[in-house]
Amino acid sequence: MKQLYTIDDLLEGCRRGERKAQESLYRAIASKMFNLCLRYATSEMEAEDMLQNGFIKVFQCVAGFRGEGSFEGWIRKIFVNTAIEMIRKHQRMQNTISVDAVFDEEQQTFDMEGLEVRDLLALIQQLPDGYRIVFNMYALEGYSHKEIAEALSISEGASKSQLSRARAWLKSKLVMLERGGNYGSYAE
Amino acid sequence: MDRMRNDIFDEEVRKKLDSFEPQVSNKVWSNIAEQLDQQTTGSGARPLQMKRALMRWSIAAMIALTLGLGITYIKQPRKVVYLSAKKEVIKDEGAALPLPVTKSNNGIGKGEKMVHRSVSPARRDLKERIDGRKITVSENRAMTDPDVIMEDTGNRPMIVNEVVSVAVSPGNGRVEQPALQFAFIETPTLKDTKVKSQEKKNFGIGEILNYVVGSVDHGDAKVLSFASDDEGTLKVAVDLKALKVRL
Repeated sequence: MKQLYTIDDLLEGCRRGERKAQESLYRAIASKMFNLCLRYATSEMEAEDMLQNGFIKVFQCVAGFRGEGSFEGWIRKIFVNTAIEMIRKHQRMQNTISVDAVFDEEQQTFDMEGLEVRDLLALIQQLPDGYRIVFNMYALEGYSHKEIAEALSISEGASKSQLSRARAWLKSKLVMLERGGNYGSYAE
Repeated sequence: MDRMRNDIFDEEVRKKLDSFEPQVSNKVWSNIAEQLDQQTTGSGARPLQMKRALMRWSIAAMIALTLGLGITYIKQPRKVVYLSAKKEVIKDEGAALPLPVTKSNNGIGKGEKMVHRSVSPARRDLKERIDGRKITVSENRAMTDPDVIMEDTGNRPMIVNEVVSVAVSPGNGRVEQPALQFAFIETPTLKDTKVKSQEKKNFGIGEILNYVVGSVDHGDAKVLSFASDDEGTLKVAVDLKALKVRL
């Protein structure tokens, strides 16, 4: 009979450095974390690198987890930090598009049901690094602008501005896709 | 078109993405496990390896230091006490130091005798008598050597040649008369009046025969010495200072 473990059950084993517990934890959350990495990365290959580095950090730092909050939430934070660190390492943070290049699309409803996840991911991956990180942290991970500003060493205003432009950029792309009626072709 | 609020837009995007469960390549876990193994092995072994390496280097350094000091000690120019075969050349200040003189008749021609004559004619008390073609050189003092006559005030060797002098007289005509011809041999002597008691000179290994080899180190540095030799006095001193153990 297959024994089921929760993530918290695996915590102690990971703290002791047991390879079996580490692998079980990996199997349990790898897909979720890969999903997160795909949003921050610009390609699947880069997302795999983030995933690998993120798990290494988790296993290295798990002994320091003091049980404040959920274990999975702590792991997600490590992955977000790892993603930011890797993007910074590649010095792509300055790679922002100019303000003029973003046309402010009027907010509208979108048919998200007809949108393929991979197309949406591809659009997010096409966002400039700064926009993508802020959008991911604020809209998808629930960070506040203050936390984002601290994490990225930018002002809260810059965080808000980048979030706004990221949304506008995404919406404009979604409108184009919806009008063209072919998400897949647009998103490679 | 209806306007969509930002928070709703964000929520829609999040829901869409959260529903996605991407497949993760198997190689990712292989890489993670491999990296963890390396870190585990590295973190456990590195300090030990460093300790071992440090110990090896320490031992090597100690050996090198010991060898270096030993070689330096051995390579130090050895000073040899300059001694004669029979007695030390070391003389009191102001004395003339004779060098060994070959005492042999082989190099002297027939009718020649090598004698030591005093440089002081006043004290010379030689009786030279001609007996046929033989020459007898005698002295009041006992001779120290059958072929050599030693004088009190200096020992200068001299070659005595028997020559025939011819004298022409009106009555007897040509008269041959044996005569002695003296020639001093300049014996090389150490004229250095500054020779002090413990003067030391360096010699090659081939030159130490008939000399006493001694350690220049003073005091108890010279631990062993060997003496006795048929040729005279060959002494060898072995300096065992380096091996000396103080109990």
